[in-house]
Amino acid sequence: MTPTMLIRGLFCFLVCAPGCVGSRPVPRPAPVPEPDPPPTVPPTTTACGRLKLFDSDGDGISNSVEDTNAARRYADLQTGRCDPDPTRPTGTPHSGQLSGALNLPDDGDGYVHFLGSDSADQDDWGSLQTLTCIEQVGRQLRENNLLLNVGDISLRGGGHFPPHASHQNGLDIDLRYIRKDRRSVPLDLRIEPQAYDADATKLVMDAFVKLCPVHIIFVDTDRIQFPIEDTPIFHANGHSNHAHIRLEAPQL
Amino acid sequence: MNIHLLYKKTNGIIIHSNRPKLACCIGLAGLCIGWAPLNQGVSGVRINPKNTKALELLLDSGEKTSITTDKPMMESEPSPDGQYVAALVLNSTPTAGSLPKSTLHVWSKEGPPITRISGAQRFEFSPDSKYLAVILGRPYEGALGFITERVEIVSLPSCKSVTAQGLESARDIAWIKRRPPFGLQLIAEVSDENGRSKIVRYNPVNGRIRNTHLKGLHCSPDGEFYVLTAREAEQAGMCRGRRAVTEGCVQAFTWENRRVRLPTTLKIRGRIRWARRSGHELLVNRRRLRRQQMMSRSSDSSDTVLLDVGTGAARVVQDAPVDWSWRTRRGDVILKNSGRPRPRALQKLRKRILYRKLQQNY
Repeated sequence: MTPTMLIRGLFCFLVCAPGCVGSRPVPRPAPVPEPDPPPTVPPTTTACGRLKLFDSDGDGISNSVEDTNAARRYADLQTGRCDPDPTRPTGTPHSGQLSGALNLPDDGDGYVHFLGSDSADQDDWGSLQTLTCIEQVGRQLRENNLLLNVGDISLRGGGHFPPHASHQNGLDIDLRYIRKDRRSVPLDLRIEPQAYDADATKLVMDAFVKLCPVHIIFVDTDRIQFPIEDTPIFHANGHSNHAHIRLEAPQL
Repeated sequence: MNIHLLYKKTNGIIIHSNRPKLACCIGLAGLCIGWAPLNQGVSGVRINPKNTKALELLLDSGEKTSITTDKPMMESEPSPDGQYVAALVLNSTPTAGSLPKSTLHVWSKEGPPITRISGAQRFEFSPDSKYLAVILGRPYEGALGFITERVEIVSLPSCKSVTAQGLESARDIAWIKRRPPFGLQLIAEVSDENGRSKIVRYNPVNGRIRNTHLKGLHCSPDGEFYVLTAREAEQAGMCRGRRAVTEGCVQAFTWENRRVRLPTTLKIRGRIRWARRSGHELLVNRRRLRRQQMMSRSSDSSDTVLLDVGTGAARVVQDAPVDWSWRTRRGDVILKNSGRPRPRALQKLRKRILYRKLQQNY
């Protein structure tokens, strides 16, 4: 074997080129079939945020709020589109405004809005944080077969909302106490103390404190019949027929 | 000599008093240490919890009597001199979920009602029992539970009624009696056109209204202090920040010479009541969860605290839940033990009764 042949053989051995002299024939690999594309899984997040069943575009505004406000032309919102938070609460609950207010749907998942003596879509305008909070608590309470009865929040645009001293920037929520018969009707603890469900009402308060940035809660502490130590719950006169929840102002 | 009066009835009613007058021991079954006052009048009143159409009166003599109406009642109060009793009576028998209007009935200590005021929502006797201030309005589900229409000042015993001009937006009212030249005044939280709250004082004699620098309505009987509730403090922008609220942003202020001083921050979550005769002392009902170490469950416990706002000193006067529906005249307080009797607590209480009698105060 000449040196030339040796070098050639070594080269062929290294590159395994077919047809080389002195190299063993290498079987051509069978063509690998193209793998099937993986099944299409809908993305769980978008650039907008995490998708949820009740928020199909992940923008943090639920489908229910978007549909209600878009259908009634209160705000330019769409499901399937990433909408920014249009609400801007300013000032304080006692002297404030609410630009870009969103309307709470009258009938939602685990909650219902009652009108009282106000007309429809007059008293239920809030910040996105407030509406999201109500929806979250409602979903949690639905698991306990409870229905949240939501009353006054703010007027559209905020400002003075008689007869309230507060409720001016969309961060205050009035709620009915929970009745034992679970009916969505008024309950005054002075008039019908026997109809009051203290355990269920405590569940509601706990849910708000756990899920929402609660600043303070006003109730009639003489009549609610559960401990309030280590909670943001305080007594306020005139709260025998509703509880008043105030949220922290969002950081804008 | 200031004798501490305290006795317990077999039905669990416990009475505290610090009246200086001695009289005969009240002959009730069960533990009885104390003396009845000499004055005749109504010392306590409450709505019968089992029959809200019956108003139970406890007289100074120790006797009990009752007034019956044909409609349920919501709230009741005796006048400070014990000569009158007022109660909010519903206009109709409530059906489930209704918020019926109410009428204020005022009785003298004996006999039929001396006046009825339709549409009353809230009422307050003046400290000298010469006036009765009444907020009239209609029920509202939210805010303070009603929409104010006007405030009327009723003179007693003539029952002549005058509408207080300028208080049409009053949300809450309270009486204060200060040193001359201020004298007796009605203070009221009102709102201006923009909804901003302010507190004004109304002179019932000449009908004049003056603005005040006050932020709250809960003034001490001697006019030296006032306490801001959480709602009032929030409204006045005095407790911003979550931490302050969680720790209790109720604050007490002196307001002598228009100079507001902050002596103490009180961790009070419940209703605020001044012990009217003692001057600076607040009666506070505290309820809390007491965790038992050996058993992994927690139990509800409660006590009543007498808090001296001037010094910040607090003393527990009752280690049991408190029902505020009883109230004596002159600011003494009748406490009703609404919880189940606890033998150990009662034993402690009996010991405390004997000791406190010797200490002459509480």
